[in-house]
Amino acid sequence: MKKELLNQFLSQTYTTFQIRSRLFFLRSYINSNVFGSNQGVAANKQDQQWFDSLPENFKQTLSSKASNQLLIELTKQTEQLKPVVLVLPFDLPEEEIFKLGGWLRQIFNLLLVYEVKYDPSLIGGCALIWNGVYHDYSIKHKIQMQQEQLLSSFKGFLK
Amino acid sequence: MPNNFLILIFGISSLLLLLAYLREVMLRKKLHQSAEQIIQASQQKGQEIIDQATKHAQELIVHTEKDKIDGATLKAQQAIEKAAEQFQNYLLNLRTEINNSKPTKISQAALQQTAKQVEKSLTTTQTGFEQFLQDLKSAANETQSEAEEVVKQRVNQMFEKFEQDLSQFLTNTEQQSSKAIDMEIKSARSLIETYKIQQLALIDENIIAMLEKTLALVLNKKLSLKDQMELIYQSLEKAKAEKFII
Repeated sequence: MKKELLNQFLSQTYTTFQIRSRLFFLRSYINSNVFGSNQGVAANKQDQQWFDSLPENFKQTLSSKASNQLLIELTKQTEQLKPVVLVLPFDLPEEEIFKLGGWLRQIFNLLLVYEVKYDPSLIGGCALIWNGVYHDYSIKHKIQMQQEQLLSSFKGFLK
Repeated sequence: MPNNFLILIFGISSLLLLLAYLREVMLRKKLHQSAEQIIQASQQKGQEIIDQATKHAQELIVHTEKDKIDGATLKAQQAIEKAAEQFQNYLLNLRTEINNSKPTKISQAALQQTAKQVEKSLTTTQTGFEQFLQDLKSAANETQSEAEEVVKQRVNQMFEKFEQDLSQFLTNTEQQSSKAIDMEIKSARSLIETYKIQQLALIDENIIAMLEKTLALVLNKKLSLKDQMELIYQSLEKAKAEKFII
């Protein structure tokens, strides 16, 4: 049950930022619809689209008295997730975030969430941080690995 | 009786004559002995004076230098002349004493002859001494020349030895200086080599940094979003192949 809820929650949700945003949305939705808050539902376009894509049983659970418990449970489970940190040389547009997230889950066959950090010095490609281990797959790292060859070819030009 | 008186007178007169003759002989002998003694004494004194003068002259000559030899010779000659003069004065005084003591004519002639002989021998001695001094002077000159030659040789030897030692010293100094300079050059070269290696390493690092910067500037402008995403997907596929994310 819990896993099913989590899977439902994480559909169309790939980054830790999106998780926080969705949880905030759910909190405001529960406050508004269940507890009768006057503040309304705080939602951006993506969050709204995501909520609309959720199955009905999930929405019904949110409308019931167990919604608070559901939210607490979802928060706990999302906190236990281990995100993979992607260090990218540029800022990803929104549609690429979704594509990349779906592609990651597909190739690694895991319910992965990821976090994006920016390092322009990587030039191209990316670096990954997983379980506290950093691994560089960027163009900068490739240049440094082939430093000797590059220098010898460069000095060949000088001669 | 008158014959006996005559014989007696004749005997007494002959006796008196004999006594007178004996007395005369005794007196002559005594005078001759005293003259001989005086002459011997005068000869001895003269010889002593000459010996002293000679000794004095020799001392002067032995202990003086070339430019003093003539002076020493002159002094010796003066000493000899003075001695001769003294001796002559002595002889004159002696002659005067002898003349005043009224010896017999025969004794006076003998004394004069002896005095003349003494004068002659003195003159001969003086001449011989002068000759001796001349010989000594020439010997001294020869000795001086020889000494000068020896000194010259010694000085030449010293100069030669000094030249050899100086040349040896200069050679050694040159070798040591060359060695020290070579070592300095070697250490300087090794320092330069180390610095060169350090600077080349620095340049190599700068080349890579420059390359990275250039690529970053160029690829950021030249690579499209599609190409960038392609690179990211390739990196993730490599991570999967390495089983980085399990």
